[in-house]
Amino acid sequence: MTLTLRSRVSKLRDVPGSVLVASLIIIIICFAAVAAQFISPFNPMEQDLLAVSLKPTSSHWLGSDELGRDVFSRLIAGSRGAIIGPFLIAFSGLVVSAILGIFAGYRGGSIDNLIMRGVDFIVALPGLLLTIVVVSVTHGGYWMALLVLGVLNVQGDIRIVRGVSLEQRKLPYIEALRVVGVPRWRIMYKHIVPNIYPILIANFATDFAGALVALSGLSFLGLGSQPGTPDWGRMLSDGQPSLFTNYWAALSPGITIVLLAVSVNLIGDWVYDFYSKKSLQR
Amino acid sequence: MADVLNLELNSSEPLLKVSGLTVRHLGAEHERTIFSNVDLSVARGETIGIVGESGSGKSMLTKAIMRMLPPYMAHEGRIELDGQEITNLSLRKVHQLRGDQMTLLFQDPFTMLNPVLSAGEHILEALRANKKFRKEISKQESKKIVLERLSEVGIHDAAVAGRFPFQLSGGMRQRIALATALARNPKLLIADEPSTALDNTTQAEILALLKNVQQSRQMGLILVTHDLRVAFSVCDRIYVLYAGSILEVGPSVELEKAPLHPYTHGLLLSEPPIDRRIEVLTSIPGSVPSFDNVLGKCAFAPRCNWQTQVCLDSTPQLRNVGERHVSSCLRLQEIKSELIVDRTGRKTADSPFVNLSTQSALPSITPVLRIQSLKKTFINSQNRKVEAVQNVSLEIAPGECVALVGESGSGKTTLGRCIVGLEVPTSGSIELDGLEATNYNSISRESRAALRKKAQIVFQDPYSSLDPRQTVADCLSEVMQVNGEGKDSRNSRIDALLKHVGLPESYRVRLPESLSGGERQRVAIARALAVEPKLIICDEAVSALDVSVQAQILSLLRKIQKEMGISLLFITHDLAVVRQIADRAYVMKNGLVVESGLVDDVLSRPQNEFTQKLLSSVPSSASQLAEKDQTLLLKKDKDK
Ligand SMILES: Nc1ncnc2c1ncn2[C@@H]1O[C@H](COP(=O)(O)OP(=O)(O)OP(=O)(O)O)[C@@H](O)[C@H]1O
Ligand code: SF4
Ligand SMILES: [Mg+2]
Repeated sequence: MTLTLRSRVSKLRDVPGSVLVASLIIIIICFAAVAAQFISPFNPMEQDLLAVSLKPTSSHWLGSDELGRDVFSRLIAGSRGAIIGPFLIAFSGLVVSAILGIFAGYRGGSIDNLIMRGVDFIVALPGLLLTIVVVSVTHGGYWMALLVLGVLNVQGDIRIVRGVSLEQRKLPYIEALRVVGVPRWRIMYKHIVPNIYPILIANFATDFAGALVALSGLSFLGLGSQPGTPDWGRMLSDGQPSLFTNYWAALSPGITIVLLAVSVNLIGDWVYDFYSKKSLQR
Repeated sequence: MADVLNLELNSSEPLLKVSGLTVRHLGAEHERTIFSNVDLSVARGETIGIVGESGSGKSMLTKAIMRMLPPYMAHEGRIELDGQEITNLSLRKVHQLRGDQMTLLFQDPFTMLNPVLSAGEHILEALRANKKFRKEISKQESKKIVLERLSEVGIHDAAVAGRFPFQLSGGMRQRIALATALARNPKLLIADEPSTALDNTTQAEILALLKNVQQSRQMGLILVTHDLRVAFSVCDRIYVLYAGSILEVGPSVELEKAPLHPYTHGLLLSEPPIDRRIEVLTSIPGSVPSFDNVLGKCAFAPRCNWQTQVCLDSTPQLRNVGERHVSSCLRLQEIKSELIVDRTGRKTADSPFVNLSTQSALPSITPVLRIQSLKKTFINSQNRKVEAVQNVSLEIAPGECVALVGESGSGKTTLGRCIVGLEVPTSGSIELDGLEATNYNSISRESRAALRKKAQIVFQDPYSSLDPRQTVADCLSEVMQVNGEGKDSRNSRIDALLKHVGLPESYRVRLPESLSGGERQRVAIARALAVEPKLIICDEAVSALDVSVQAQILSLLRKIQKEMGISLLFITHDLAVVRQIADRAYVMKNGLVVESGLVDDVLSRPQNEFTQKLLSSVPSSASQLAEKDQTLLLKKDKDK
């Protein structure tokens, strides 16, 4: 009777196969991120000049790179950074949009105007270019990249959340709560948030995937992460020169990025559909 | 079974003959029967009605006949149209049949019309679907046909043909939809709640038009409606559908005078009369079950006053109870006389018990609500001013029930919203129980909190008035909490409130999704009561409910008014409801009060022309309707 995910998905077979596979991928990558030291077969930083540009072997599962570092171990070592950055960006997007978006949508008037002017300003910025300039000029590295991407990312979330909050505001149940004297803040966080959270989750997933790709792109360009750190984007660019001779080194991080991004999106979509369908079934 | 029942008109072959029709919903987990074993026939030139409450399967029945069921629904039985069996006809052939032979008219004309096609193009489009027409009719001729069809539905202005759906009013759209449906001269028209989405006067016009067209074309017409009054006014015979079974079939006249099934009887009694106030409003307890829940017994048994063990032992079959009249009630012979007593023995209540005209003479009584020269102007999307409320003054005495009536768009709702602070009036003043309440934004938090305890509101749509994620108890508890009540007193008051609105304690943990419309409305009323207000504004609070449930809620509101002395401002378009509940009434039109006074005066001796028009558009018996239809059509012509 209650709307928790657990009680609704009583049987695993109700979940589409693609979502199960996506969850498995995410679980594996998260596990790798947490247990990196214990499962990594080699030291990801160790150069073995006797074993450069290897094809996959029984000990080097994904071969080795130009400097003889084990690709698989570096992939594992990079997973933590690959998850944390996008997570922080997506999470801050979620929190900020839940606060500002709902506030703008619910309050309306001058506060709404103010917030939306700010959003418009960010929209007007040339996003990627700005990120590249800021990160390279400030030499801010990874954290600066996170900050800039986080600020750029939040505008989309705010707009979406504002839109759905505006819809909620017009519903009789919200009006009844106002008439009965429930304070504004309480209506926002106790009534609007629970009713729009499929949207928040969907936003989180899109943000995460987008940030993963953007951060990898920055690393690929040599911005963001420090040289030498096992970062998926950087591995991609390091491997690129020898793409045709030693494609394992370049392709494995690329494929992993795509897999993770697609998986997160798939799950986000599914959770969103699941709840929206629920509310449409009336 | 069908041949045992003499439902059909003498010997002639019926236009539509449905026998043993069953429809099942093939779910992933379990099958669900939507309706079962339905026999139905329509003679040429006959109008039948299918009535029943929401969810009884009316729409699915019409879809099954039109062979328009969604793919996850399976049907069995036999459908014959004009002598041809169409039960399992290929969809391609059925497609040709639709429009040529039979056609469907929906509740919401908007969903039927294509927004990018003009009115004329809709009709042309329908005509062109026929091969013969495409080949043989010239452009000139087709234009003429379009105009002909339009004038048949009462549109004599040729310019309308060039207008698009969004440029037309709801009534006009329904006319265009009808003209489109009639384009290829079908023999059978099925109309599913064709007038429900329209306001009262337009509703009457559309019904009159349907009847008119049906008679002049001698077409078969199936009218699906939840409103018995509508069915009586238009149909020759009526099928009563309940939880997927037909319970009674008979000629309208007989059903109206002497229904022979407790359900029809109950429905009829729940329908409030417009000409007098009933002392105890009859309602049917509970709500409609699903077919599978009442399998193997009388479908109505769980809600029937006369239910005994026999009723639970087997599924009753329809039996002849008169000429072309069948009923499935097993105990009909025993209870027939009781039904009659029930119907005739209803007491008419005394006139309203408070009379403000005498009260306002006593300066000592502060009115619960005093509105003076209220005005509210909106700026619409085209930056034009819309004067929703122009100049309204109104008073409500303590314990009084005042009705505010008028068509949609007359400003009733805006007025109600101003009173509870959901809108800020442009000018004028509002006082609640002596407290200034004109602008909720310009007063202190404490004064606002004080006003909350004066006036509360209950909205129309029970499905969106409750937070879908909050249980009944949480909902009520929150209201008391924000008004500063301690936990223990909250807990005990929840039970008291539930009892007040007639819900069992076990409903505390229910979520809105597991409540019926009527139950949700009870919770909404309990929520309003939780702050112990002096005045409750009911904005069309019973309009979205089935008649049987509507009567339950009306009785509840009456009880609240009487026992707790709470005043009610009852905003509605339904004059029969006004008669049942209100002491005084204000009639609004275009933001102005055009008439006010005691309900008895306003409804029985209306002075204003507009009130008279409102009264005359309430559906009544067939003969009156025919008369009205003529005058309406004449008037329409004159207007042009
Ligand atoms: N698309 C659908 N899928 C599954 N079940 C459906 C669908 N449409 C209707 N039903 C179910 O079929 C039953 C009958 O519904 P139907 O729409 O025919 O009722 P109705 O008498 O027309 O009600 P109303 O007066 O509300 O229009 C209900 O139990 C409903 O939940
Ligand atoms: S059969 Fe029994 S339960 Fe059903 S309507 Fe008749 S008396 Fe009531
Ligand atoms: Mg229906």
